[in-house]
Amino acid sequence: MKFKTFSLLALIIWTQAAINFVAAQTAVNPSSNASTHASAASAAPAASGASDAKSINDWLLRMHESSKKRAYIGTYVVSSGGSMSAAKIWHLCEGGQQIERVETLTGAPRTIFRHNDKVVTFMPEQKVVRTEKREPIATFPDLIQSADSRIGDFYTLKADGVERIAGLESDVVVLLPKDNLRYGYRVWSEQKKGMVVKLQTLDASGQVLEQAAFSELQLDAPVKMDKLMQLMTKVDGYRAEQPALVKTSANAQGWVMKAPVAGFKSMSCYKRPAGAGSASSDEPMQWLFSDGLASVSLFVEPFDRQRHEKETSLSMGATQSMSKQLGPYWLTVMGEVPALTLRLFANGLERKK
Amino acid sequence: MKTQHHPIPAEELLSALVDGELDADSCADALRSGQLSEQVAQRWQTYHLIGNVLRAGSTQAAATGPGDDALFMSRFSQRLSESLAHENIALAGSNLQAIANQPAAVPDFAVKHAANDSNVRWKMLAGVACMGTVAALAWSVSGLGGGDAARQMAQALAQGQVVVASPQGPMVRDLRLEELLAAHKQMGGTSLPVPSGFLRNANFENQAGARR
Repeated sequence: MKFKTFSLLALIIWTQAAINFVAAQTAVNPSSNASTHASAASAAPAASGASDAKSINDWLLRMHESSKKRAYIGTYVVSSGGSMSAAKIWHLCEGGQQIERVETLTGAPRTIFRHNDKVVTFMPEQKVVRTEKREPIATFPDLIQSADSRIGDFYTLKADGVERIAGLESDVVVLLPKDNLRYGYRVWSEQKKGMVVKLQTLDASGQVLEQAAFSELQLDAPVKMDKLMQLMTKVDGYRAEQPALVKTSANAQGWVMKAPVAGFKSMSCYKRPAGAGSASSDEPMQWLFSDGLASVSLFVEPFDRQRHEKETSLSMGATQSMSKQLGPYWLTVMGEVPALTLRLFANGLERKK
Repeated sequence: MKTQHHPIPAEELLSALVDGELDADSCADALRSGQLSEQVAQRWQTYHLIGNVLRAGSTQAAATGPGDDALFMSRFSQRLSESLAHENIALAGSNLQAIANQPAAVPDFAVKHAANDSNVRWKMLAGVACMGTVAALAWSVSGLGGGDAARQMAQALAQGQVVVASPQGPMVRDLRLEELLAAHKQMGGTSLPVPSGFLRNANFENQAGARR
């Protein structure tokens, strides 16, 4: 009698089915929860103190300072485009030095250390450690304090009640776009210091495109700078990679934005090394724009009939992308903005005559 | 039930005793009347020994078993564990040779009461297995299973593409596009102070990273 064998087999099948089912539910739930939030938000009365540009800037500054300066250990979950990712994060700011350790809990195993603008990524499966210099669009205080920063011209700030996130009472604030060229955001910041604990990206109808939150957060955790630094430099047995990134300007590369997109400013321009899978030795150019909250990248590379066979547009959670041919060039535009904005960028880009 | 007024064969009496169907008075009466002969008493002993082995394993059975039965018990439990090890849990055929040397009632008892009969785990497992089979069938019929994704993944990796999750299900995308996306996330992304930039690409970074 092979009853036991059959039973075990059936049990394994059942377990797999159950796991699939739970995974499907988990992926679906955030968006359904989110739409509940969204409808609740649209029904909520506008909070007091309708915002002007200054209050938005003050609020953003406080949020940035707090998120940067807190010492914490937490589990961060991101739900985007039907998939979920999670990571454990150790964060510390000490004497003007910022250090962060991110350990991915889903997908490929990765340990990422960020020490100020240096990013070191350990890939244990490939035994590769990649060191990069992360130059965010601009350090945020500079971005919003600069004279021509007008986040308030393109977004309105609205209080949206109080909720508990990761065990912390948090103020909820909605940043709504004033035009259809950008997305809205709902931001949860814990009440004591203002650190961001949850973020949703919303489309024009209030639907959640992407959301991220701490599922568990220990503030003022005993994180040790020297211990993290020690782990970051422990590269024995790993092959070191240092991708080249050359700073340039669109003008120097022969490109101009003849029709600027409202609210978006040129932030930086780089030449990146061509991908290993590419036969071409020509490096793509990356031209970055930002409106203070959202960013758009324009990648320009020589047109290759074999690789660039058709013009495409894709949606990946809050990030949209489109590709098209521009004479002898191939343009890919992507950003956390609606597809319309990407089309305006694509149409506005021109080769200098 | 007054068993002493209706004499019944010794074996039936023993069976009733084993099944707990005799009350204390009937049991005492039966013993007094001499219906339980020595042979029946031995059989009674064997029934309990087998029960102990099946329920508690050899150690406890050995501790409680009489000296006469020690050899039988050790041979029986050895055979039993051998048969279990071969996933042949029914006490039938050659595995019963040890018991076959014992009084005739023993093999009958063993065949009728397989090792899994008294074990509630097997009943639960049977229930779960049935549910599992139904669930698995329903799952595959409804088309929600992830088999396609795995096949696409295998094909995609051969063509310099990657599979990523999307609201429409798994999608095959150009590896090059993933590289550009990673570049965009590294330098751009939202300016709101959240650490998600590190995480968003985790799902496909595996394939992209391996090729860089």
